[in-house]
Amino acid sequence: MNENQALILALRDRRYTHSLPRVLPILFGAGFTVAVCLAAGLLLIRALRVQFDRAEQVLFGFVAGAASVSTVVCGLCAAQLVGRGILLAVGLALIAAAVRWRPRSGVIRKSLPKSKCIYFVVLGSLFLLYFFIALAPEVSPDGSGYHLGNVRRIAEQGGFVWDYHSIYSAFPQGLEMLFLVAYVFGGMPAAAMVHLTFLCALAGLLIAYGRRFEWPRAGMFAAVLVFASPVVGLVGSSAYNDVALATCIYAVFYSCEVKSQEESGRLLILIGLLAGYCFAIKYTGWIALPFAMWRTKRLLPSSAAIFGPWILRNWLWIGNPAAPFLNKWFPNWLYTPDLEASYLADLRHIEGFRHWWEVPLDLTLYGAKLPGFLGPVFLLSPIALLALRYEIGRKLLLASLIFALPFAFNPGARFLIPGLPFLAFAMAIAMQNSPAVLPLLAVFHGALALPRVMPLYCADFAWRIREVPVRVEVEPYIRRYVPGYPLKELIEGNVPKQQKIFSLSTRPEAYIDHRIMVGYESTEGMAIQRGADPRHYGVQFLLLDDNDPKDNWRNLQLTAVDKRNGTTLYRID
Amino acid sequence: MVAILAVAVWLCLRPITAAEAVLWNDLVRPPLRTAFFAPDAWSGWIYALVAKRTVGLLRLSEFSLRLPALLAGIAWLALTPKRPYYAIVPLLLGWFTTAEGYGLSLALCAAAWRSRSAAPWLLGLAIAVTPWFAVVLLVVFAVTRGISSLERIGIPALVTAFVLLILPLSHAAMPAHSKLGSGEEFAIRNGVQPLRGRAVEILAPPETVPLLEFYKARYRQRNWQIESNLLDRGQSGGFQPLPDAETIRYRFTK
Repeated sequence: MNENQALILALRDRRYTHSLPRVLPILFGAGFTVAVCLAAGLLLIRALRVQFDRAEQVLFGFVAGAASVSTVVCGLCAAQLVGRGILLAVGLALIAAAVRWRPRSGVIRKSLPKSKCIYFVVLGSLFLLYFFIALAPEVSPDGSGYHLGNVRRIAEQGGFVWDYHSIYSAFPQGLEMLFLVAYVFGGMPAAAMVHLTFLCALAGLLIAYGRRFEWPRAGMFAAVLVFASPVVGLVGSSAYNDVALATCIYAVFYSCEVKSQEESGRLLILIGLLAGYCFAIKYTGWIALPFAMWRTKRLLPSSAAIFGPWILRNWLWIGNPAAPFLNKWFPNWLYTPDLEASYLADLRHIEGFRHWWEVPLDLTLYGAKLPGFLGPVFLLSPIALLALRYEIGRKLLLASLIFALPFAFNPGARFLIPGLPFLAFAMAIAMQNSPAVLPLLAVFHGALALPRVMPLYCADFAWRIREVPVRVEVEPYIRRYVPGYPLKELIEGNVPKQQKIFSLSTRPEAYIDHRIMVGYESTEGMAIQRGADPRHYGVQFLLLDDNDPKDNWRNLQLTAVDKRNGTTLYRID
Repeated sequence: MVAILAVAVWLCLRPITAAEAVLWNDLVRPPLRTAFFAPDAWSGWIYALVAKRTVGLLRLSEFSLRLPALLAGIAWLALTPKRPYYAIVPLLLGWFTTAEGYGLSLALCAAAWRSRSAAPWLLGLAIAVTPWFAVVLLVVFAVTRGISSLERIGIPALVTAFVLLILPLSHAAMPAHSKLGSGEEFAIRNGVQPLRGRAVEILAPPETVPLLEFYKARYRQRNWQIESNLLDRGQSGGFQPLPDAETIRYRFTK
């Protein structure tokens, strides 16, 4: 068998990341979801008669459509109606309607700078890298944990899983609703592809903003700066939600700026939908709502249409509209104020820094003590202060500060992503008049984001893209990056399907068929962790690491069933 | 001018200093890939890159290691537009006759002064050769030329230096300053010269080891075994100096 024959066989074999039977459903799932969002958004823009150019129509169409589709899917989940048939029918109807009634645009903007080829080459090269990362199996900690864990449970159940109690299922799941559509047709990588689309949309919005407001070179540079940031690339090509949040926040800012140019009441509806969707994607996105109200000096009732369902769901289900937070004001069965305080303290906790100046170095260069890093070029961010000379620079820097605030409560580089586009744009404005600097830095930043270059400056164990999985075997790839993956065999071989398992730490739920109750994720879990009999909560098995304390269950008769990678499965006799 | 040049050449022949020996040992001798990521590369890798060429052409010697600085001095003289500046040459002779980046940076600044179009890049290179220049140059630009000049020259220079330095800087450590004076440096050269052609084992204080390694390579003495006189005392607290650690000891092995 020669190499070509082997490659053809590999293309047909689902064991490989690049095999056609594996890739086609993924591309269909992601493409269908994106197309449905775009269709819904274009219809909305037509209905609102907002004056956008072609590129803006597509970009705002996708983001606004995502908000609308997400809300519709949320409704389907609540009604337990999620299924391939209904999703396909609704989606095809929307696409057909958008083809029939797509909006027209006569607006023509300033052309892009001559150096655009350089920027597009950098963007295109990195897009290919991210594309293959997204196409590979999901291996990110939270992606293979609760983000897609929730999606998988919802897809299996056909709607929200009311009897699964975890703080992570109480978070608003605006983006997971889109992941769900993609997952139903294409599996987990399709969800990551949808998130990657948001990253591309963010780059597009930065370029379009630059064109519209007469800073085309700055827009192109800012797009590269954000797109090539290592943490943005990794998060954007995984099933997380931070990049989608950043995209929507930037869209809110952008539309507020458009609103300040053109007095249009209909634009307020769009701004409201986008701001509401920021909240629906992630709680930290709530800042977009007061920001938009401050900038437009109006209340934005349309936002309630998007975030309202999530608040209502939590209120009716848990008794706390802001679950799993504000438990002091809304006492409920899921979480107590003590647990909430301890959870928040854990998020805030960082260690290992001896001097304050180690923090920016770690955030940009090393990624050793805080998860992820932004890329060394962001060490030049003080240059952005020169942008304060311009009104747009002041607006961007203020927005960057406002949207980076959640970092104070959860210091990981990805919590800076929502503020990053604004900072990148301000840096670009500050350096725009310096000859050749923007293309030089763009190429340098792009090169520093390559998986082979990153180890030259970051910490060995930094959270980053480590390889380009173009032709790799699926199973070994997952095992390499998901430490808990071997537990799948352990559990599925030894635990009956309906049995619940208790664990002290999170596991890759998205890969495991069984329901796992994690100690700190609910009051029930915490009760077991503190020594309550797990059987009272329907738990028959414990999953404990070698270094986990076991004294609390001294009274129980535990039988070790099997062990993988330092984790033992115990049966309660 | 001839007298100045003669003095400069004579100064270039004096014994190697501890800092120069470290530069040679860490940055000039190893392959570029290793040298680029050495802890002290950020403060000298560009000078070392030029010195690699001069040492390769002329064989290793005090003069060949310092030749880039001397050439930079000559370039500076040629590029400096006004004769009165020559009066400060004696003050700068130290920079132009030591294997450090200051002379090179000064010459690049002079070149930047002459060529306005390439000024940002030459200034950036000057900053990259001697990062301490960054602070001085930025303050000078901000104060004297205002924002527009900062955009036209200051930022491109800073960005050029950043691109050249950020990778070595990511592995940086502050260089340790040697306590050795010129007296000790002369004494070491005088001391090792009689050992040429002999097989010896040399036990020396750690800060003199780079100098001895330099002379070992300079005189091509492969049969010299140089070791730091540190003794691993294991559990009693890591490395400890031997008694009488200030002296260099040697014994003939054949």
